[in-house]
Amino acid sequence: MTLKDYICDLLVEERSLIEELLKVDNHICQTKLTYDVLYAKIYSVVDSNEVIEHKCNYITDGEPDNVLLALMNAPKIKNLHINRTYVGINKWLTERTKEYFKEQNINVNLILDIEKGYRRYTDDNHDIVIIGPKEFIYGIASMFIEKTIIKIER
Amino acid sequence: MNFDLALHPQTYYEGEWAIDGMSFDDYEKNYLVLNAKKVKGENAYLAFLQKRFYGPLSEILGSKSLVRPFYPKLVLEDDATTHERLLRFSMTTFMSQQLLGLASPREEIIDLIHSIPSDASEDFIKETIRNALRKDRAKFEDVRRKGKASQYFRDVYELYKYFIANGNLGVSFEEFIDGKISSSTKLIVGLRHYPDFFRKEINIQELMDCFDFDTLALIIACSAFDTCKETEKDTNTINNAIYYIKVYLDAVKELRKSNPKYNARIIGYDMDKQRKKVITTDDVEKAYTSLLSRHPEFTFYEFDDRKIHTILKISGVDDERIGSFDYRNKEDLEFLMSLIKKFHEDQELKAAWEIIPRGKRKDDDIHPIDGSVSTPLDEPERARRMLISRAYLENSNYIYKLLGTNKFDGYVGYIYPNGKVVFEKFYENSKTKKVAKSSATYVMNIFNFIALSKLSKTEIINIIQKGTEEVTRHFHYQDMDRWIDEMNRELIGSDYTPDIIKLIDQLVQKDALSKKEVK
Repeated sequence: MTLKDYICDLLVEERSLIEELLKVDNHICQTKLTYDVLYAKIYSVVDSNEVIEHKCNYITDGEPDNVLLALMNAPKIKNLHINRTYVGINKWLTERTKEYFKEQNINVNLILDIEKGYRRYTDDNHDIVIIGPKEFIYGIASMFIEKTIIKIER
Repeated sequence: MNFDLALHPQTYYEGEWAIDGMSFDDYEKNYLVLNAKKVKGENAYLAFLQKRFYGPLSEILGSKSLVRPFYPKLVLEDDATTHERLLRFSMTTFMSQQLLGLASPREEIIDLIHSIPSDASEDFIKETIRNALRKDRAKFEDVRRKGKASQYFRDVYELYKYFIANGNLGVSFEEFIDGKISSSTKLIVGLRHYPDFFRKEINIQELMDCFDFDTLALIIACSAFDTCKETEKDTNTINNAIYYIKVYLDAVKELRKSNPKYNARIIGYDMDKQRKKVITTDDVEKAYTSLLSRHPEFTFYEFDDRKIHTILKISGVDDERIGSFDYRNKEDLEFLMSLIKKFHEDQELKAAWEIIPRGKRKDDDIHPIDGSVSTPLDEPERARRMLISRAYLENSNYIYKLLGTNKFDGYVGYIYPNGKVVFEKFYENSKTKKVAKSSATYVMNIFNFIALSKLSKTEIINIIQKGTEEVTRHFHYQDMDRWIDEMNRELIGSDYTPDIIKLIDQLVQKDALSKKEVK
């Protein structure tokens, strides 16, 4: 079972919890993300063919599908920045991903970064993977011109 | 797509909008003729015209051949009583066409048409045309009486030559003159009946039956755009027909959420190249964006009753007057527009913000909020994004608007009740109409924005990196709905407090107890 299938099954099983988290996230983020749209977004994530073998910091725009795409490489993530967006849903995704890998005896030590700033990446030597729309990628990349950036545009 | 929005605007809109393009008088170039369905091999729109225009008018004038040279112009126009937009054949256009058949030299006829003011009343136009037709009939009668000795003989004979050249070889000069006198009389008599005929509303459903729905919606958008283009050329302003294009493109945007590749297409006519061409929804969208970006003075304002009530109230309008306010009434709307204009001017603090950047910097480093998208976007795309951000911010509930001067010319700051200041650049500066290259919006705190706006882009980015939460950056995305979501969050949303994060942690952990086994 892939991580995506695992998460999709859990989305169905834990629907009431998901809807509870969506209520909180939508209120804070002033969005209208529904359970159905969330499910469709998650379901649409296709596992990347490009496997990043070394440990990196991941910066996403916080959209759950982009966060899941990052989490597919969870064992190789040091910090995962979610732009302080959909914190409820993204925490759920991260926790369930850790459980998925734990079942396979793979340890995941990633830190879910819910801060607004990017301070922890400035003095860190790891490469940075940025996932999101083109504008987001280039905007963030411009802050780390001295670092190696891996761009995953979605 | 709902035609109701175009047919029943909530405010007063003056004038008529042609819905068959600028070439209604040439069926080879007429949008409606070119794109109608074929029913049993027959053009459905031409059949519709035969039934609703040529047929009834032939009866009014008592002659089929008299009606044949006229072309109907289909318009949406304001009803004098209800102020709703009604679909009709344009009476003024029809009456003006009658002048083109007069015996007078072409220049005289054109002068006569131009002498009719655009806001002339129906009665005035009718009277002008009646006089012209009577004068014209008198010329033919004079030629019939005096023959070559008539001073009008030459003009009338020229007209006869043109007439026979158009397939009427068997008609003698005398017969031609008799026919012309008879036609003029019929047209003069017909003038009495036109108001009843032309004021009749055309059933839109009957027109819609001649087209695929998406085709007709795009045809009307193209026609509205042609009208806007003409107005821009003549007066360098925006015609209110743009309202329809906005309604159309809003509907397209909704449609593209479920069908991202939606793009209707019609056959149009390229006036410059003198040939037919395909026009798509995308073409209209690009042209619309480009038109609006050339007019920084024009913005769509959307007002709900509460906001209007507030504006009227703070402008000292009494409750009784507010209660009887009718947005479809011309006077009421003009009064309201003057208040809205003043309301916006009062919110502008142009003189209050004059910031001189510190130290010596290179010119390209002076502006603190230039965008940082490496791949430069083309101007139409930048304009599209800019227009969305401008419409959003202009319609938001800001308290004051700050206009940058000197080195900050072109920058606009919006101050909000929650203490945030949104910092945006729409145009390169206040004089040119060149869309700014910046591709990001900066949100600052009222207490530190003056200090922050003195910094260079690099310094601002350093602050964002540190995450001191004094400034955030929001990119103009290809999907600007994302930008709007982010702005909503900044301006009306809240933040994850430690208590909320604790609650989320508890929820997520609690359910983790019954976790799923990985197969």
